[in-house]
Amino acid sequence: MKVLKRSSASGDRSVLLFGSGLIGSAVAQSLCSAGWSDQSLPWDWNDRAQRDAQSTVLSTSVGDATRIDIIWAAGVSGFASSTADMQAETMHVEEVASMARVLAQRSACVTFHLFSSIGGLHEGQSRIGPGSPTSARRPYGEGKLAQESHVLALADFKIVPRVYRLSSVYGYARNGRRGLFPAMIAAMLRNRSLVVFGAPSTLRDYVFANDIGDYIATTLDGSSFPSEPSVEFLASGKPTSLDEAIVAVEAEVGRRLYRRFMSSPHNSANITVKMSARPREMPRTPLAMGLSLMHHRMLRSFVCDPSQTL
Amino acid sequence: MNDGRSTIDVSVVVPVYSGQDYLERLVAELEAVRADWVAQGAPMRLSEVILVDDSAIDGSPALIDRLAAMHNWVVPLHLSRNFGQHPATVAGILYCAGDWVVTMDEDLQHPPDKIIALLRAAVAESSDVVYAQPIKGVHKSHVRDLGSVFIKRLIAWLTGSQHVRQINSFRLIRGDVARSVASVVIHDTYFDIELGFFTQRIVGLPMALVDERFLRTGQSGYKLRSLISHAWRMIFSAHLRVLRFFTVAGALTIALSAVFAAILIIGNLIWPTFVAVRGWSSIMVTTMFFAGVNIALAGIALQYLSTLVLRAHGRPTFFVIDRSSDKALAAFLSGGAREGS
Repeated sequence: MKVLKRSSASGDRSVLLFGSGLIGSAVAQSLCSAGWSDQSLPWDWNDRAQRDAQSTVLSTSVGDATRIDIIWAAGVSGFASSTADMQAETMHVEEVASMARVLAQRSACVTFHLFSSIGGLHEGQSRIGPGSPTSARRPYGEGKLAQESHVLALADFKIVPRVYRLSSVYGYARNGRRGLFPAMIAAMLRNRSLVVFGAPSTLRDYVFANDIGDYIATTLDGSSFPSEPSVEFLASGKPTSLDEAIVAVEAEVGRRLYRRFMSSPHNSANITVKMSARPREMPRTPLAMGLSLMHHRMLRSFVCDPSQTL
Repeated sequence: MNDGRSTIDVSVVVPVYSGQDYLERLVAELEAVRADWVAQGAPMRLSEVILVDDSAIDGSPALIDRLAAMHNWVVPLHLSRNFGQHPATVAGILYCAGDWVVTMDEDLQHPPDKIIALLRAAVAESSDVVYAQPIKGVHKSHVRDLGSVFIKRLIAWLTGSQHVRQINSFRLIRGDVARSVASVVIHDTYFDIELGFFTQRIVGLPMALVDERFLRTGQSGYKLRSLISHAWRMIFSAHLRVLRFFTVAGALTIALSAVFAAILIIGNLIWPTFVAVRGWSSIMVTTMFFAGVNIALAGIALQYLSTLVLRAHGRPTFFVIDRSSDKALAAFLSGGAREGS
């Protein structure tokens, strides 16, 4: 996990960032670009006793910050996660939420940012927006809903909860799960075939990880302290079929993707988001540009570190 | 893909270039259609209207934003520059999520209450594309209307794509087909020619259409330049039958030169005075032979090039389609659903 700090006329600010995968690293990168200094601290996900000790160190490192933002971006679950997987992840969210409650007793302004999932909570819905009902169809969605409930309940402890429901996030990070697009690029570069889960016409909303990082950085830069709990939809607002995505990736890489679609009712339902549902301030990188940035970052990563594999 | 949902979403895409006098009425009429479908308990809903501002030259951009603020089903899309009606339509299609996509002009020459008739025609014949076909000339100008018919017939003959004769910008397309075509189409490809690469289930629905703007102002959304550009793009998008003609013509020329050569040789052997001017006929035969070789090689090269161009234009090897949601729609539409509102 990382602690990011910045001093300003209104006082010292601290951000506790949990998670260093695709979204966590994008948020950290955007904050560093915005002038925050970062420091990595150990956080043992497997040993509770270790975490208790590390939590004390964390609380100390925050010091006398006048505003503390806790960002949870450490979700490792996916659509196929079991109930047990989701319970384990939710337990970690609760632990960090407990730490937030302790910090709230010390600092006047604590905000808890949780990254949740549009796909998990609105599976099979089209034109999703703030008024759309949640419909968790599998343990993944139920777990995400439980995490949101825990975090939104923090409002009772003078903590401002902010929930961000994300659509299909793409980008490249060294850590964490490999998403669809890096897998496509890797398959193309290796001339191997790829199994794509879904149908060619399946619609998704793809959002570039850096756009999310930049939006969070902009939100944290805001001088006013948010006072109301909020649930936001971080999406591109543009439905994209798998076919269209594949054409875009092939155009970027300049090779053909040898693919096989594995389609079932469980993975081919459309999930699209209303354009008006996304925050106005959120940047929107077009898919072709996002893919290009991701592709070059992937290639650079392999050149700089030969131990990385496709 | 409908995914077994009970509601069938219909998206409407409208490219806008100079529509400030029409957009409010257009949106009001679409709203009436929307409400009418709900009142009838229709299985389909008009879920979104995407107004694509193609760097409009009047007050349309601000009006589009205002309409989007008033109606949450209106989606504003602003293009960075004027790309033309076709690219604007493609952009709108790529931003829609409907099971069916309707494309229509901004100036009300395409009545929104006819969308249900297009849907009925589509499910009645399990079609993937339905074009509105004007019963009479839309512009009520013989030169303008006959010119359009002539160009379409010529292109249909040149390209062998018979559906070109039905092409109209008021069309209903199955969502999956529309998005797939839109994702592979390039700037110089004609969208409707590309549609023919994905499906042959294309029908026309005769209806009365009138270009009110043309009748009122004498000006059409299509200028002569853009009509020529359309025709040019249509020809370049298709596989031209004339390419094969070059190869055949070359081969025939070679054969003809061989026949002449044989006649000359045999004639010379039998009658030594058969050729009066020595050298001239052999030069002609040789020239003819190599001209034939050149024409045939150029024809073959053009056919190879054509294969590459078609690939660049996104012609698929195959395309899988799901028409399973048509049953619910057909059941409702055959039950006497009202056409207007």
